[in-house]
Amino acid sequence: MTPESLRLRLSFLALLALLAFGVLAARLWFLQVMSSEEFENIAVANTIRVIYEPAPRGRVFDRNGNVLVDNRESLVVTVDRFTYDTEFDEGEKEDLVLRLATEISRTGRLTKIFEINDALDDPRYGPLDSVPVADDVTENFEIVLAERADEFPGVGTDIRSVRTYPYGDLAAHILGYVSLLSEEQYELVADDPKTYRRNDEIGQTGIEASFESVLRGTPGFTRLEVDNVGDPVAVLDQVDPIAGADVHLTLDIDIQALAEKELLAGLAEARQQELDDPNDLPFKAPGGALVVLDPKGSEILAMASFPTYSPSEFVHGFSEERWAQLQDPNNHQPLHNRALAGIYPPGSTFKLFTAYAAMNSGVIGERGVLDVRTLYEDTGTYVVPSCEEDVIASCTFRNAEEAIYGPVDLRRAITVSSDVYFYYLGDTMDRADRFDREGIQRSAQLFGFGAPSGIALPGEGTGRVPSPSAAEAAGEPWRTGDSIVLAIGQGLLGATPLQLANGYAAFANGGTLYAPKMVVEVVNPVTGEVLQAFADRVLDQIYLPRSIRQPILEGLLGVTAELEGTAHSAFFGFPHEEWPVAGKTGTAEVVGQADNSLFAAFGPNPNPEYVVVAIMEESGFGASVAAPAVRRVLEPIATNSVPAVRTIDDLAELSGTIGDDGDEVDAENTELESAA
Amino acid sequence: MAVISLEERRLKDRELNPRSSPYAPWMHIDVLLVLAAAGLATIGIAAIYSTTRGRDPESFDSFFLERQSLFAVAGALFMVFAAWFPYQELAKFAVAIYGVGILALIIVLGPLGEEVNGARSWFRFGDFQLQPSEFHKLAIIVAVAYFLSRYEDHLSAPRVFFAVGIVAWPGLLVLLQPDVGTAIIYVFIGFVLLLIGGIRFRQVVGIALIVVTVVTLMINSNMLEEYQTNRLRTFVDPTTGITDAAFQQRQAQIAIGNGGVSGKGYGEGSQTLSGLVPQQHTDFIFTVIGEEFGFVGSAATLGLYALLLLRILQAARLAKDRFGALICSGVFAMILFQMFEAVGMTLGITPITGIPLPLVSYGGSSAIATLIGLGLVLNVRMRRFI
Repeated sequence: MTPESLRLRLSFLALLALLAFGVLAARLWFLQVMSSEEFENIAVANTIRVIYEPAPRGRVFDRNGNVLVDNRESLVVTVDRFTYDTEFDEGEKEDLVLRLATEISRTGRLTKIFEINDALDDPRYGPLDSVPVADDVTENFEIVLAERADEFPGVGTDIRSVRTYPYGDLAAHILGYVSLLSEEQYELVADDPKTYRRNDEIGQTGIEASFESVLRGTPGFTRLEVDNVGDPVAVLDQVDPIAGADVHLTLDIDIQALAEKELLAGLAEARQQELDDPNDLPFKAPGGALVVLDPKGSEILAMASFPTYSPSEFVHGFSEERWAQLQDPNNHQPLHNRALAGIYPPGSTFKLFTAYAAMNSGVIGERGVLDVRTLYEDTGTYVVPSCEEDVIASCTFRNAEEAIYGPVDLRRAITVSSDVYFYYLGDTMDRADRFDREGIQRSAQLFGFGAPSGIALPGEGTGRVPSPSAAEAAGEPWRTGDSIVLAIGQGLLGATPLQLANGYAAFANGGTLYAPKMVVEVVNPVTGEVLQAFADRVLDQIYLPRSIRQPILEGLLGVTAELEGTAHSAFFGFPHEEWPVAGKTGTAEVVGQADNSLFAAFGPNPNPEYVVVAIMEESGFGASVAAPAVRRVLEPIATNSVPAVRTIDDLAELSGTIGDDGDEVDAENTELESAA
Repeated sequence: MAVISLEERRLKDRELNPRSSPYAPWMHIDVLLVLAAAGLATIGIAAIYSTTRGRDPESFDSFFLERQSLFAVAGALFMVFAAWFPYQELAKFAVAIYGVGILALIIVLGPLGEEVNGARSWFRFGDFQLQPSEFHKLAIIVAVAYFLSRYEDHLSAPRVFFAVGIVAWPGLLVLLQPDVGTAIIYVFIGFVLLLIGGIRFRQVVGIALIVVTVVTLMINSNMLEEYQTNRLRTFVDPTTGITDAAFQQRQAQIAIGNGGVSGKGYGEGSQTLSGLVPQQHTDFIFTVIGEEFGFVGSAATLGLYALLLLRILQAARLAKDRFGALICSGVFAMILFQMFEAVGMTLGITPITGIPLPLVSYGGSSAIATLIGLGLVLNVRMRRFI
């Protein structure tokens, strides 16, 4: 071998080295220059562990300072997922879960094997988390665990703060409930400064949802620097949890209890009515709503919706079957808040707004077709003049029950609820060129129909106010008959019980339309400092001079006080002298069902402090079902004898007086006791 | 006055005053090589201290710092010794050195050997451990260099096989420890020596085929320990699962990436402080350099290696005889391969094997063996005129 050959071969070594250095340098460049940011982030996460300490959620109070939603501590059994997954084979896992279920049940909290397995499979927990598998266990289990820890590797206990409802199911729809975040919700709040984690709870409905940002506390955390086995070596920083703020509602829990009781009683009565004709549709009375508000500012004092549910059920979470039951239309959707989301034709309770429309647009007046005191002959039927059969399906409109009221002026038309009188007003406005064709629609909108009222609760319905212009825009025909049925609150007209109550409130207070108010203020639970106070919110000032208001009011007062008033029998014996009540019955037709029963009332006149609206589905005449229920709500208010609900016994007594639905009452009682 | 030729004067000078002669060996010490080695050893000691001193500034642990400094000093003395006697003398002892090495590799497998991390590779002397396989790299270099330097022409097949045998026996003994990394170094050293020694291309192909077959069989048989197959498999497919090896490689890359361009600063690397990279003071020492000194420090370290290797290669070129050139090539192969593997595995481009980063990783046997190797290179270079 020549020296040249040796040199050549050494050059090959040099090339090899050059290649090696090239590869290393390129990779170094990639790691340290091109992707160092990414690695720096990982490195930070690598050495820092954050331990969260949940903050207590704010409480909810009624207007008198009664706690409606509180927190309590629940002892939770947890299983360390890492231990469970890595240290046991399938057989051992089954055995552990079986022993755990047996032992927890033995110490007083019934726990099924599948409940533990479901919890262990919950994808919201990471592979290193401790998964809660049973809550509200007794302290006896802690003792068992302490004595026999080696039999339950990876099993521990934890204290969790959960919601408790001192008044049981009362106001469930208003308060709402909290439950674990869904995946979609987690995405929405991922950047929230109050730091949600995947196994956190969030308000799902009601005040819990609309005041989530206030009620939720800011979790505290400890940032620890950890070593390679996860043991902390230093505390980097620590922030204490801040409790969520308290929310004070306008609600009066005593009136709420009364409203819920009477709504339930009214529906029970409705079901017991006998049918005039066996062929009539049955009074199923599956649900209803009852709203009580203060017209001076539209503060909501009570808002009942039936059927209802138990918010404390959500504390433990429940089975899929139970969830399906709550959603099933056959069970009439207990989670649905009918008071603000249910849309109903208001029926004759709407006549107030038709009357206002007629007077405001001049149909009734010196230059109108009628004067306020002009008597109009109610013959029991209204035939649309010059009606052509092929244009209008039916040209003849009748009073309910084929009643004939004879000569009626506006006041009497309201008192006796003459449909014919209002058909005439609707027909006139629709066809007479000199009047506003959409006067009724305009009046309805002034009083808040067809738009969300703006209450601080989620899920509010909009309702519908049908009009010629909207129909034309949608390419549908508008016939005079549509205006005629609109005048008596029928047809496509739809309103939520809350809208109806708020419209009555605007009339009652002399023409100010407020946004219904549910929350008075938000208060720091520690210092008592008011963080946020909610003033009355005026949406509109309605032109309502005495000349318009007085005749309508007199008609409404007659409904309860005069012999021929539609609600006279329902209000027989009511203290009319001290506490004059204005009201209006409604019997709204719904295709294929028994009529909805409605009653709207306000008092004491002339300076009303309460508006009450009741709507009961498939319950018959407003006069025979809704009106008596409203009377039973108003009478204790008028006589200052609303029963105070302060203890669980009061509640039990209250629900005990609701007779007919044995099972339901029992179930509710049990729930109340467990909530205590 | 007689005019004497340059050659005569040179001879005369040497006779009269060997120490002051321009051809005296000590005049040709390769200062750059020594500086590069010293630089790497210093970086190593600093990095070792950073990862082993603990977190408490009040009571830093200097145990590893002191030990590695001691090894460096001892290694320097050995280096001086290795450079001191004429390297040609080594040829006489090549067989003896090789024999003693083989003996040590056999004994270490028996009850006298100590098992650490599943490999029986060490002898224990009080507080010190000795890893004979590290020193045997040098024995292989000297033995193969001696064997190949005896033939001036191209190698015949029997000679190639004999040379392969010189490498294979210690290689198998090391595999029994088991220590795959060191065995692979032996193979690479042998390959480079054969290359420089004059192997033909077709012989290279033949050997390569055999090696590939053997390695494949080894991986698929149960000869390798589970952790070793894991390491190799992990390198092939890091997504097969979170194994220990994948974790190690992942943490190493995070550490290096975390360093960025300028590094986190000495003693400031979070991965290093938290001890997240296993074996960080030994095989994964480069992650400390990468994290705390960044791209600048990493590149500078690689630069020192490049300088070192360049000087070794030059010594091989300048060597007076084939024996010297082969010794230098062997040392070159040893350092190049270890450097590439030990840095590469922290960067995620080579599989994880237990190979120390020469001069930088903690460990007396490795440091001293490497410095002896460098001493031999100095020896060859400075005696190029004699």
